[in-house]
Amino acid sequence: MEYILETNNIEKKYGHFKALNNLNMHIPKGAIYGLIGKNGAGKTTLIRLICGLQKVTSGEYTIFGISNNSRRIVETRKRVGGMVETPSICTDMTAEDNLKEQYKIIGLPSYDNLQEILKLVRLNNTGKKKAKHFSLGMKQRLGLAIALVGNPDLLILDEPINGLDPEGIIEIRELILKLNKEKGITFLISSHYLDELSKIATFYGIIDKGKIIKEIDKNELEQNFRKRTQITVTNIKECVKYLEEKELAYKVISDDTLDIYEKINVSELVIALSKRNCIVNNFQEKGESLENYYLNLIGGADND
Amino acid sequence: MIKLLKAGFFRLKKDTIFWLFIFFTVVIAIFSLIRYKIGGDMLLNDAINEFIKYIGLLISIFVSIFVGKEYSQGIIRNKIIVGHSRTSIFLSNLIISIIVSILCELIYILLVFSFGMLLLEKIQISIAQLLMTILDTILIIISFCSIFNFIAMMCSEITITTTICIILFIAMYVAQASASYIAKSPKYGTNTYYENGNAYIISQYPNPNYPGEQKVKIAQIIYLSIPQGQAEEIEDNNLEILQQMPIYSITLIVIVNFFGVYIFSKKELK
Repeated sequence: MEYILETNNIEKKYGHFKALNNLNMHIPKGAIYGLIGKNGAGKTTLIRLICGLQKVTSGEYTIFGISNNSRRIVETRKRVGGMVETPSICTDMTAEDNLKEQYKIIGLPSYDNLQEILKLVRLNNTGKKKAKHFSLGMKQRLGLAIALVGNPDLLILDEPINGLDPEGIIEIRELILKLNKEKGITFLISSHYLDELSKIATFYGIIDKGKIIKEIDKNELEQNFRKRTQITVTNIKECVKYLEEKELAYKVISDDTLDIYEKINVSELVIALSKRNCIVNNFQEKGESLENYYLNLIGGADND
Repeated sequence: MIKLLKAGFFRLKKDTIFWLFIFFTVVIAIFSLIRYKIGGDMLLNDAINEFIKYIGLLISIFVSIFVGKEYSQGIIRNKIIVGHSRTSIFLSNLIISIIVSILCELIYILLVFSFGMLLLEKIQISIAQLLMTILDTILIIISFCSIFNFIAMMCSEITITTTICIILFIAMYVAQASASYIAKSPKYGTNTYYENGNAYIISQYPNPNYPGEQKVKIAQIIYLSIPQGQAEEIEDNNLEILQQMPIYSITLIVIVNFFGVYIFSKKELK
């Protein structure tokens, strides 16, 4: 597999605090790589290092095969676009002027494709309105538009949907999918909105305590998702006793609800529980979500 | 670097702070002309040199806001992500600040010179003094820009940057005034006799408050190392001092920018 970005045992220390600890990550070409982790896991630190805003304490990373220790890394960064935490925009200027400034920063000879980019992020009708009067979603889209100037092959987005309303989230999601499909741009997206990320990511990296604890592609993940049966009962203690006796995997969700992770004979279960003075009030078959998968992994990591 | 300069000038044209800098330059030029005309200090060269007293404050505000915005709005991030070196970013901001400040100085000179030719008495200094004054003025401007650009590139919060720059300007002003008091304290006092408006020195006596030659020497170095101190000297038109000033300015500019580039290249950005 061809990797656009790889990290090899990178470590980042702030004083005595280790923000990243021997982190290894591999982003395949053309992937939408979802970097998942709770606050403080090291997502933003990792992105800052890759974007060149901070330097690694030890270890190495490569972008398009060029090491961060090579002088050529500066040149290679021209193929990268990024939005770290908040959109980097000049609020005193219009959307068009913000893009023009970025064209000049990159050194493009003309404003070719400028209108196309504005149209892509649906900011082509903002006219002379200054960015300071934009909504959060518009600012986020403008930040994305700036990152798109120069046709980057890799786009790094740190929490791109933070603070957006549902409509804004859908817009950003559709835009990312469109850019990935039509322009073949590889994405590295960090987020803690797992449901949202699961709608677009084709590859996942789960980060916890400064380490990637799991990298998995979407298909593999879907195969790993276990089906479960969620039941609501009147006597959870008896139900748990029964499941223990039968050695069935389960997880208690609340005082009256639990998930059973194995194939069960429903009639048999209902009759058996009824004999124990426990009535099944509700019964639902469910697939495991990315959120559950993530929580199981993090729980596992916590127990290590 | 050229790309960054082009981008910087593009943003500059759209930035209110740049136009405010020019506006205040014009206002100060008008007030200087009026003050010199009404006050009776009629020399055109003195009116031209007047702006150097104010430009430091204007530069501190302009640089801290213009460069500070780059940080607070994340434009520096955009530059680094697409592969610009930190040295280029630091120096491009410095160059833009210098060009803008010199442009404002030129606007002031042009206005005061044009109208001053009609209103005030003509320039009464030698060509050598005039050329040294111009060179010193440019170096003072570059010194101010270097100091404030250094601060703006070290601090990521625009409000903190602006506050530090203004406080530093005031602190430098106080420091130069204190250093000037010591540096210019006379070794001897005089008993003077006045007759028909003329002063006649009768005798000299050792100044009991004279701080000592070593202290005076140190104070002189401090005084001339501070851009405001040099600005004060510009007004005095002392050719000997004017010729010494570039050494102090160039030393300051080199040291500040050397450390600025070094520290900025190591700085962890957010």
